[in-house]
Amino acid sequence: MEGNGPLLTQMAECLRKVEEEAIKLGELSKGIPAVKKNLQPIMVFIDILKFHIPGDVEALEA
Amino acid sequence: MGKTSSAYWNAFMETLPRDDLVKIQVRKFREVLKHAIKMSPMYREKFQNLGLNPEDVKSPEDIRKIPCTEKSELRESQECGGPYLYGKTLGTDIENLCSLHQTSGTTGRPVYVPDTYRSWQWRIEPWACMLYMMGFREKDRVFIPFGYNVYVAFWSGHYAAEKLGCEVIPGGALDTRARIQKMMELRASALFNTPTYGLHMAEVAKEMGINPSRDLGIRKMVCAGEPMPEATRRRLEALWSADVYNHIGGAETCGWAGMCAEKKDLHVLEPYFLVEILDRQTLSKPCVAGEEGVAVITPLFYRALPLVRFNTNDVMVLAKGACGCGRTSLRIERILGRSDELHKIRGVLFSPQAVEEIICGCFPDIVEHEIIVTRKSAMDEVTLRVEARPSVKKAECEEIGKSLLEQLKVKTNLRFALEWADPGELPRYTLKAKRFKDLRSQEEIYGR
Repeated sequence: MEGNGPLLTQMAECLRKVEEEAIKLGELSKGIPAVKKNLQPIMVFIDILKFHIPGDVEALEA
Repeated sequence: MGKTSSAYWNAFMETLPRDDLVKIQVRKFREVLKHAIKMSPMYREKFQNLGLNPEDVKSPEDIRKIPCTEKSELRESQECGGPYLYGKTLGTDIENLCSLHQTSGTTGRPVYVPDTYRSWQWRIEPWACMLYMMGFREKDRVFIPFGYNVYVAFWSGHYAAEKLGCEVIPGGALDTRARIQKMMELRASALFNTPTYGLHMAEVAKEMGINPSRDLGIRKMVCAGEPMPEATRRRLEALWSADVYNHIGGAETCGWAGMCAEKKDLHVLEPYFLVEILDRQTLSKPCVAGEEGVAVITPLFYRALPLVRFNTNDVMVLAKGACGCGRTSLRIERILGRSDELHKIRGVLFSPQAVEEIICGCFPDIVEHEIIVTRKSAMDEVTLRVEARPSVKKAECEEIGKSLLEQLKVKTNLRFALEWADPGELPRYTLKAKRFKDLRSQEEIYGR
């Protein structure tokens, strides 16, 4: 776990930025169903990536 | 055949120390519980009387205090009406759904299994992890010899293989001969199959003058849909010259365990799932490695049809020690079948899989079999009907029969009558083979 920690933290940070931008895009694109629907898979894969890149390693301690 | 390198889908998760794995599972279980109580009327009603607070669940011991979910509860909750098929079981708003599948209905009315886009991707993800663990990679060309329909089998396998970058060939709407020809034409290198159909395809290929091991280039096979005794797996490997991998799953739970390249035990796909192997009588005590128990599953990421401690009724044995692959997950050593597939004959608990294991392990000239139980004068009679390859001579059958009866007696503690069927007489199956026929009435068995 210790060896993976810093790398996972960096990856989790990248993922957080991607998620923030995807959410922003969703808000900006209200009224364009094609954008909304095509964003759905992106949000789902961000969800799956959160599992593979656990930025919440600290949550293991909870 | 042999081991593959770089076998981890996610090395961090798959080699996590067990204590850390359990912490993640407990945390995710709390989330499942919260979601189920909030979104599923079935669970809200079930748990509100218990005064259950998800925040109080802090350990595996706390989890074991929560009642299991039975398949009958899902059926009843789906039958209770409401505007939609799913009755009180749905864990999302109806407009979020994108697909509908169902269970096979082997044990009664099928359970309808809804999916949202999100839940569908979470079905595919553990399957992708499992295929990667088995050595599937971009270069594989996977043939799936089944007509896809409302039954969920192989749909998730199809999309998981696509996700890995394999080429996937849907081989439905063809008969077995046409499928074999298509596999040759397209040079398929891997096959998703049921064990029964894998044996049947090999038999048909031989009838066509095709040697599956030499002429068909299949080097990997994943079997699902039925329990597969080790002897059957080995027979399939010999027939196809392929690495054959076992897998466990269900329509409600998704695929939750599979073999790694070591091909010894089945790794539970943790932490996608919380899997408890519990004593069969009370479902309250965890089994240790080597003990028979029932698998109780909580999918930790699947939300459309939330399941909290789903009793699969599948009886299995946990493996001892560590696996050479380095994964830290729980492992299943043996699957004994559904608890309702264990039968009492002359007071002896009997699993039809024991017969399959003997036949597939020791009698390659027997291609199909059927077990029939009757009762005469208050005494159970067990008849084994077997079918030999057409090339086997009568004198050879006598020798085979003698040896088979001896092994059956030793392995099952039961005396069998043996009957030889004509070539092609016994039914062939593609999915959920029904080789056991109990012709005793319920009154005779249970004295009611």
